[in-house]
Amino acid sequence: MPGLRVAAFGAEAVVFDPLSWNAHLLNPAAWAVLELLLDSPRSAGQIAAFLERVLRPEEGTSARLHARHLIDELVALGLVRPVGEGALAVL
Amino acid sequence: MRFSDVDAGALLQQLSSSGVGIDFGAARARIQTRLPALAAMIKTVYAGFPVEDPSGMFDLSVAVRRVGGLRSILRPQVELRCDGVREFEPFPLDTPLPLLEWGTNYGLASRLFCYLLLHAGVVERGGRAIVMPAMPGSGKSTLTAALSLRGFRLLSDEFGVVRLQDAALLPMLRPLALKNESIEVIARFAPEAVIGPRFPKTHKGTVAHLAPLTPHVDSRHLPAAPGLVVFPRFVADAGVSLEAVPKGHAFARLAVNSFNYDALGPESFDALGKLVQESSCWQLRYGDLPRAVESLGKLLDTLN
Amino acid sequence: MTPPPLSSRPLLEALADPRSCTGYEESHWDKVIPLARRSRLLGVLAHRVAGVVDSSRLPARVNRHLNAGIIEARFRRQKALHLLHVIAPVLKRHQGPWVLLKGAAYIAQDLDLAHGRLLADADLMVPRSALADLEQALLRAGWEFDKTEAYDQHYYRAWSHQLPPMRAAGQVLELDLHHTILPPIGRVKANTERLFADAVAVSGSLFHVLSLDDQVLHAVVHLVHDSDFAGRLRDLVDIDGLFRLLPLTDPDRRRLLLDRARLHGMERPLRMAAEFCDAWFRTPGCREVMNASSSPRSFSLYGASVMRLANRVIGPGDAESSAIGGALARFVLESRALWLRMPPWMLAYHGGAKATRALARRVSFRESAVRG
Repeated sequence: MPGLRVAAFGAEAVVFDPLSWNAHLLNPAAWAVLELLLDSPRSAGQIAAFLERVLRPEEGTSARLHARHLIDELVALGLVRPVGEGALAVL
Repeated sequence: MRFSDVDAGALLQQLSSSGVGIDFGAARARIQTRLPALAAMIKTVYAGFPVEDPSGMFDLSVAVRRVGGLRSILRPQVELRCDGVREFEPFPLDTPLPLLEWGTNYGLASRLFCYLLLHAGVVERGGRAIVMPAMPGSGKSTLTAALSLRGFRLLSDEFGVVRLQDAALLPMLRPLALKNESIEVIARFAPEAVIGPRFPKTHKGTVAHLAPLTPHVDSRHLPAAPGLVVFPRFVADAGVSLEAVPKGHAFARLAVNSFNYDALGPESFDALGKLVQESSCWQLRYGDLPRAVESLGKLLDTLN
Repeated sequence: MTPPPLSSRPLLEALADPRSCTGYEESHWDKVIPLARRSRLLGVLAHRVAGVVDSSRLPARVNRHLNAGIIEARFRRQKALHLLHVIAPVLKRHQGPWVLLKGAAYIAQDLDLAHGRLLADADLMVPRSALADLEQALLRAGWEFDKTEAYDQHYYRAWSHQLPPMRAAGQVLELDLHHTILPPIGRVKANTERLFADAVAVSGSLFHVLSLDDQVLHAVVHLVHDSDFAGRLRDLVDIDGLFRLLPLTDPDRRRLLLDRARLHGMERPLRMAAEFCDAWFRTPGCREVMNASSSPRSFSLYGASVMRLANRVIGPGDAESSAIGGALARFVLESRALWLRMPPWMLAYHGGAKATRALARRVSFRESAVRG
């Protein structure tokens, strides 16, 4: 099965799931995280650390929570799955 | 010979026997009917189109005829068949043209999986297209009609036909369906425009059809490159305001306003992505039609 | 067996000899394509043509329509794969085996006959004992039943071999859960134990499919016994494809199939299907099946007249054809289908007009009017 297809438009992206054929519009934070995972699998902690760096200061304080929600949603959408030891990868 | 030039009697004869062919650009249909009233309406709203030979291959064959049987004495009705199959309920006998137009649109939308079909009005100027998705309350048809009467080439009122290989916009030129107030708005906007009969009691209110201009008919095989994607919103008494739309959002809104985006899978994703990438995307709020037309012209001109 | 009606021949010829279509005039394509589309066989035709003809030899307009058929089929295939992926975690917690039926099975086995085929829904057979729990689990996972009347729900559960169709948000196809392949109160009863016992695992998946013989027989009874034939040419194409897969020309395979038919009490439907395939597709091996019938006069006058009527309505037909004759044929066949599905006392119960209409709506196999 071919992999994820991405149409990137600056900060946003639309992502095509080759299994469900659904497309998802990702906001900048979600797209940034997905881009990270397209590069290589990361743990939830690494994702949270990344968000802490890129989010604006007032949002950065809850980066861990933000990361949790984002990951849960990306997993629920079927775009990301857990691999090995608590790490996450793009399907 | 164009519909405007043919003899009405000869046209009826042709429609009643083997039919006539009409080429909309991206697709062509064969039309048959024995109804004299409908033949006259076709002659009016397809005025600029060449009358084509009914032999050969067509993307769709449409036949409109009176419903027979006992019930028809009490309630005269007319039915439409696409390639011999009746897909929906008959209409009252006095609304044959709306039935022909809606039925043909339905037949085209359900067959043309070779293209990405957006639900949008499309015009072109300077080789670049303006794609206007049809949300309720958008006034898309009024705006598309107005643009087509002010120097923009009409590609389609209903179907934004996107070629999958290169995201070019292809004409699917059909009579433009105007509803309710917009009929008078357009009649005032362009008194020389050819508008067919008014049908007051359709399920969408009053409907009338604007005949496409002859030069646009003659250009119906000319594609257009992406230019603008404009989401119109008619707001009475508003002036004109334009607001940029993020491309990701434009993609989503276009996909949701499509006849067959879902079924085409990866190819429609790629084509729509290319269309959006190569277009400048805007939300237009307008209450003043002439100024809206002017604004869109200026916006189109700013594209390099 | 009377030959197929003239109106169907352009399609049958194209399906039987796709190579010859390079010689078709556009006016002939203008007949073939709508016939194929009406029969839901456009994708199948396109697949056969693509296998032997280079698209550059065909007019662009023709290619666009053939491609449209392939695109529609591909969409439904993908949706089926997605559906199975989504329910797999739910199934895993319940007793199997989980046996794919019909189109879903053909896709899972990547059979040639699956290509270009328009799937209507996803059919899955599970042990009757697991059905109630599985139903609850699916409901908890977001699946729901189509809004059906209480009567229909009751009908399905008490008398049929399947639950009412289930749907879920984000799913285009319906999920039909079966516990056997024919209504248990009908006149032909499949040997359900053997269906499960001889089911074959699909490598790399948690699903099973029926043994090939059982798949053939299922397709046969689905057409001959559990439908009213109208517009079912597509089902006959499936049977033809399965016959060729066995292959029916192999005497040993044929004997095994006949034995299996005997086991399930499906010899007459098999013979009927063979007669049809022989007449419509000249499927090799059918004559031998017809001759092998254990009782030469096994076709009563009734059987022969059913075949004649079915012959009229099975194809896409001339859409403008004789209204009265066609309607009568369809009425007789619909009644027959109901008759076969349930014993007389139930037919009487069903006698009320409303009930009969509801029943006909539910059990006549869905025209695939779902526009993907």
